Amino acid sequence: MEITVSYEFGLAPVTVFCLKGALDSTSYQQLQTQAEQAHTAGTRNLVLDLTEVTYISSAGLRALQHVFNLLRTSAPSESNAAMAQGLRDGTFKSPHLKLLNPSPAVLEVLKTAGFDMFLEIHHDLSEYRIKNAVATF
Amino acid sequence: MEQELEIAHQIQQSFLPKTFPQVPGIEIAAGMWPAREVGGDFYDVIPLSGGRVGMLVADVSDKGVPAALYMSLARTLLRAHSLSARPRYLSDALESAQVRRLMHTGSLGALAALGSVQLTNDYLIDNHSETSMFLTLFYAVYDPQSRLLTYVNAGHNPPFLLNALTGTEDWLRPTDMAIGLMPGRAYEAQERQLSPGDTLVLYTDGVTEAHNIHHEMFEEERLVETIRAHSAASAKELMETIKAEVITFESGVPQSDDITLLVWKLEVGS
Repeated sequence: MEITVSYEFGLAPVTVFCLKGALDSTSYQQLQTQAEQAHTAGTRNLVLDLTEVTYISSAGLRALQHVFNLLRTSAPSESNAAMAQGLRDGTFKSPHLKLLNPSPAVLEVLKTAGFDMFLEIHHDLSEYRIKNAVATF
Repeated sequence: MEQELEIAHQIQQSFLPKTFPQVPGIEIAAGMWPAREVGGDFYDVIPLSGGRVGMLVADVSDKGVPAALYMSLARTLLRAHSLSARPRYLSDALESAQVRRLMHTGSLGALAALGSVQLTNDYLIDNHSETSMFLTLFYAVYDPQSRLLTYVNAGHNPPFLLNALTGTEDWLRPTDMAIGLMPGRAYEAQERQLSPGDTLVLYTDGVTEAHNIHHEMFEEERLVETIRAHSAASAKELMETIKAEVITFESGVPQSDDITLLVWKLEVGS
């Protein structure tokens, strides 16, 4: 899998990973390692651009969960109790990890396992898609 | 190491029941074939109070030894919570509108067992969320008196339901997210009235995402075609046919994920 990293500034600094290829058992560790390195270097907000991701397996979903946990903070709004309540009310989405343009097949896998319930998914094929996603942080 | 993995394989296989409770009018077949010595898939068939039977198929989000450890934890929690008294869950659940609605159909016993999904999620979140592992799960309780199926689909591939007499088909789609992901999920149950001639096929993505040398996947479509073509077969024959179709499709490409199947058939004259 190819991961291209860029750094954007909206209201907050946001790191963008453009992923290319299959996110599965052969590549999920690469995503996790790259996210860990970015986190160590100061990344607190991340957009994963999935426009060119062809397939996601359960190993890929586990990498997303790993990155979600990595970026989660100890803010009261991200406590277990607050997340549970927010999920019940339909108001909680991760403030730190957002997904961009999953293909219909990838979206189906995300929805089946319920990842769309706690990760924002943006659909935007315009040339401003990165800027638009970054502006939502 | 090889010998230890062989022993681990035997222990894991011993978690999976080989004989099933006798339920009048029901045929059950189930099998799990790990991609490596040990795997993260499992199934269970659990005799419950009142003649009810629980059936479940689950898939841990990893393979090999880490998945096998998580699997043994999840499997034990689900089974123990299903069989024990559940005062905490039931007292919570009795407050909910869902139970007040479902109690009219007499499914409280089913809900008590399905409460094990909520309790297992709570435990995994409180104690093991740093692993980022999770599992998808389909857990249903069947009541032979009413032929009512009460189920939770926690982010799992939807089981396929086919009636051999009427030709009606349906998928039992997810009712909530996978377990081990988020705190405080209620995992509310859904109900489905089954009829004589129904075949219900539970499976994991090792079936539908099996791939061949051309990187094509088996997909739901081939699974459904196989079930339709063998709807008159016994549960065991149907399970073995699906497994054989997957192996034929892979044609020499090594199995990359665990494969689990559970077939549940209501006899035509039941």
